[in-house]
Amino acid sequence: MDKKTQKYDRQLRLWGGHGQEALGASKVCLINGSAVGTETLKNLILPAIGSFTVVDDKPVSGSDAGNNFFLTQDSIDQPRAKCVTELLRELNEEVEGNHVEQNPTDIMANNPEFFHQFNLVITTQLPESIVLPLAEICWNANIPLFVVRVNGFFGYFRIALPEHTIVEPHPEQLLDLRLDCPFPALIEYANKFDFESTDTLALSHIPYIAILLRCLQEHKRTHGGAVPSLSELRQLIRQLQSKDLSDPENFDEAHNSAFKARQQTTIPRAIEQILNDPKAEDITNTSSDFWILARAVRDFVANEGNGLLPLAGTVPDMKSDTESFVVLQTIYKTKAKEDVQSVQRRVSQLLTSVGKSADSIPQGYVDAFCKYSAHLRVIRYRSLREEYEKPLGQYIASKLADLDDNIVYYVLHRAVDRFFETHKRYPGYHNHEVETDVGLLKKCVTSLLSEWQVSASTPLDDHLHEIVRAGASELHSVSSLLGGIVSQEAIKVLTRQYVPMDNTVVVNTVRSTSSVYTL
Amino acid sequence: MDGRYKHMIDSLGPDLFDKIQNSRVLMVGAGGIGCELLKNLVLAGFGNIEIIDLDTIDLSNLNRQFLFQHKHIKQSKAHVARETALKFNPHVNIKSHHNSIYEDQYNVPWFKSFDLVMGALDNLKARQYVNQKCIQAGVPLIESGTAGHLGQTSLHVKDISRCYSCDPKPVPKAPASCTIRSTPTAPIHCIVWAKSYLFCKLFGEDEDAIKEDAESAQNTEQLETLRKESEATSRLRNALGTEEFGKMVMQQVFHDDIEELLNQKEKLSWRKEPTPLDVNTLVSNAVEAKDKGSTEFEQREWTPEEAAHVFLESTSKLSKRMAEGLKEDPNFTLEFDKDDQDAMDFVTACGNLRAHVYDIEKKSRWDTKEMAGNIIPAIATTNAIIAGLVVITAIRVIDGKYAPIEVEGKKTEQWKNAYLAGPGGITTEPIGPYNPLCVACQTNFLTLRVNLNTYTLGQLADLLQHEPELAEGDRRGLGLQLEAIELGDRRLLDFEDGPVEKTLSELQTKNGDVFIVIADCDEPGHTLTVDLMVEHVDSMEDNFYELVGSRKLASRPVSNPEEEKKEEEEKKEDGQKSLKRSSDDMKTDQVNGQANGSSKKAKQEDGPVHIDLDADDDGPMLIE
Repeated sequence: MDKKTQKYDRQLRLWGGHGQEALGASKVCLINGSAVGTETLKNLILPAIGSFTVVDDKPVSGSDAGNNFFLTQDSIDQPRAKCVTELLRELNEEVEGNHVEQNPTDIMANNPEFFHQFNLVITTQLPESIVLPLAEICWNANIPLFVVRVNGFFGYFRIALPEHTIVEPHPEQLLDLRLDCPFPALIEYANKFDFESTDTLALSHIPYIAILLRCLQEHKRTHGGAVPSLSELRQLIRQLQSKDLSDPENFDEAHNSAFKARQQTTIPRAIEQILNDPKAEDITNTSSDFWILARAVRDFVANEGNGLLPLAGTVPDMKSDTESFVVLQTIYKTKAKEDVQSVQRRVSQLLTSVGKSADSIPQGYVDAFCKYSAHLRVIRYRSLREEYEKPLGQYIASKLADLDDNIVYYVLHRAVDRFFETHKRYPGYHNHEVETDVGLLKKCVTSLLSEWQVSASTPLDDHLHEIVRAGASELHSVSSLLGGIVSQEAIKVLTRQYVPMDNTVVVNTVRSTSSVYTL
Repeated sequence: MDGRYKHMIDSLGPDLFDKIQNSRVLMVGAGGIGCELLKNLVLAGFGNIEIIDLDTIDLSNLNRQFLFQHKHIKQSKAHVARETALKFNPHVNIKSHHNSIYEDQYNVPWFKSFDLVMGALDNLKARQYVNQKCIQAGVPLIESGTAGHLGQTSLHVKDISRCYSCDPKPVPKAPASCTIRSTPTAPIHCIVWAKSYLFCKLFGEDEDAIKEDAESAQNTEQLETLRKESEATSRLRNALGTEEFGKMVMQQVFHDDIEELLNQKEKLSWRKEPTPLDVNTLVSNAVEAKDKGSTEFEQREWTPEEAAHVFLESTSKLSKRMAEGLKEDPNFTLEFDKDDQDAMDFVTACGNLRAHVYDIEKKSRWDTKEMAGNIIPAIATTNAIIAGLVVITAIRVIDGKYAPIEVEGKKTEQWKNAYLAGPGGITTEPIGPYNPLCVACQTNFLTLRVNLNTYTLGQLADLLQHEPELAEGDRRGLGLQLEAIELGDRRLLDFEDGPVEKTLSELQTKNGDVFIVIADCDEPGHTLTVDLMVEHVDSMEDNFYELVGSRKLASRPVSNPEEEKKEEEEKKEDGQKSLKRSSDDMKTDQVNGQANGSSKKAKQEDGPVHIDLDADDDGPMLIE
């Protein structure tokens, strides 16, 4: 086995070789080499993203060296971008590391295209006056933006991205048995078993799927095609079970799984929406692989799929003799393969029709899309501009009704930002100004709440003190914890596997909790 | 002020920060969570840290254990972690131990010298052991574990919260040994057979496997079969190191043994009869795969000819290693290790050939490694989240900010966190009060302070039997109906044998040893035992002593054999993994207890702990 597979073994078991490839092709930009910033990068460099670039024009301070693992006493007064990059590089020689000693505002003014080279931009400890224009640049270029901030014991993290499509959300189970609408090979399989046999050993090894199918067919035959009720079905199962059977585990399995047989195989609403999305309708040569596949599956459903999605092709474990089980697996696999081939034909046609090579989408992608077609996900995030211009006042108000809810710290985060824009410093930065700052911060809270039309009676006094007392300090453990969450979501976005959070995460380390809000 | 600790002092205040700097903490484990923990502790300014880990650094650690680099492979995790961390904060004291936590020197007094213990372990047995020590020493313990995207931490404080062992750990079902031996139906059965049965037989302590078989044999025919097998094994082991060894093994286990099974009078209950391998043909057709060594080869199914080639090659290598080792040491054995290339090749090839014989689905080397090695996915991100939570909890413990919980109507401290990659992120719940029947934290525990060089066992026996009224204060007796005193496997004193006038040091007992005192009890069906720790005090004279601890001794019901058996299995089971267990994801180490009596410690990645999210739903959920 090659060294890389060996080194990355434990993570390859989470996202596979293709996930690793996607990660390895990723370029990540970090604005500000703060503790939470370098902790986030650490967790991305270790599993091997392609490259990282740290943008930071500040020099290293003594407190930086104290809370950032990637700075030492010797780094003090040197450029922070350069120092953290040097130490971060040591984590993994396969990852390229760059640094830019510039202010993000200057880059935006002089060379906004700079950001277009990245697959992900992460800002940390950056004031909103810089975050908002940067968010516009990233949004328009379709680049994911993560906004991260630590305020004392509290963390804030926002994902902004116009559209994120996921083929592999890693669902807990992939159950697609088609018992209510068996395909011919499945019926034929079920009919082969001799339930009248006196060989009890043979009877106790009939897979429960065959038992269920037999009972369903029998009921439909005698009841004009009607589906049995759950209790009728269970009764049929027990009637079919030979009295001499000493080990009826397979019949028990059938009994317990009877509800599965009555479940109607349908297309989930969320998937229907995806298939009927305008992006699936209008296929052009700029359409992404995801939308071409969505269109191909839509057409498959309308034609050879007979109204159903491509078959997942997996079978759960069950009591069975080896041979019957292998045959059953093969039947599902074969049908799934046929479905993939039909979809593949449609994909090729679509690609050719827009002037692309018929095999420009990798086979693995088509396979996965079909296998997980009932679990596809499209997340369309709200932009930061929407959040600021069309605040969800009612939603915030409803959460704020409970003062123990972490939404309080979202409000305070926004207030701290506003405080900074007004006073050009963070509240509590100077120890002697704590009381004054509490008053000033309270004004920011009040004005924000009134803008959002949230009834301003909410007293946040205790919380205000909490925030101001910690000042703009960044505790390493809090940064490390938040960096862990941010990098975990980054990997989900970069590999397009698993479902990232939508869209704001608030971390409260006083209570050791976190909450997710769609704002 | 803009010093190193500005952030800490600003947010925690100077008093608490002072406590943190003066605290003494112990970290058990320097793996995935351990690296993160040490970094966080050092940057938070924890002044005195000790770290212990027996393990050495492996290539597959480097995707997350960032205190280690390529050049450190095979070096001590504890030492390298210390060196690297000190570079980032030279102002803290770190002491590293490259050693097993089970060593005698890490006794209760040693545990007592810490303000807090943090466990970052990878197996159940060590977790329970550290938990026990922390209870005896009265030191708070923060447990942690991760598996893939999931993780958990919990705080355990004696007599306040649940201890790690208060919740009985679920016992997974293991396939019967005859399934492994004769009637496999799933790939895992073939893999366990290769790893725990055949590998041990050929390269391990063969006697164990044979003895266990003999015990489970039910009739003379089976015994006869076993005798034959035992002869065959001796014959094979005599051929170790020879050219023919590989082919001989193949002939024996994939042909002769299968034939034997097919010819047994008493029919085994398989649905499809196995097909013995045509060894001569297979050996002459054995072919080295073109893509051997590549990731594709690793992850695809092998043809029987390819498997045969790998089998012969790996068997030859292992057999040579074995023959060479035996020259040096007649008791030399090899142990299965998933990171041993030859051992993994052998187990994959054997599993494949056996699956071929029984017409079972074959697993790739990649999958086999996961199943045989109990591999749990592990990444830096989850470890960072969990270690962050641990250190935040640690700061709270040092601050003394934890009050008794479960006071009705009152808000309670939240002591248990889980990180779930799902929509919620971090969830938190009170860990709950201790289990009154817990055998770990609710045992009778007393400390005896004596001079081990002068105090005799006879004097101890007297003390235990003396009525409390005869003396005062710490010198009162316990009034027990003494039966025996044990230490580890040794019975120091049996009541029927009369008193022993040897001093405790003459009896080779040491400072920090914990005796088990067994006494008779008036309540029927109950037994009374006391864990008695001896503490050596050099200044104590002759027969002077102090007995420290609660004298309210409680008897407990004698556990029934059924439960004991369960406990026994738990001990063997060594750790946990896998969410929502079902029959198809049965992992190897649970099977270990059955298939291989002398199982090596089942290794896991960054250490499982148990999460029960919704105990009355799908049952307890387990994560690494």
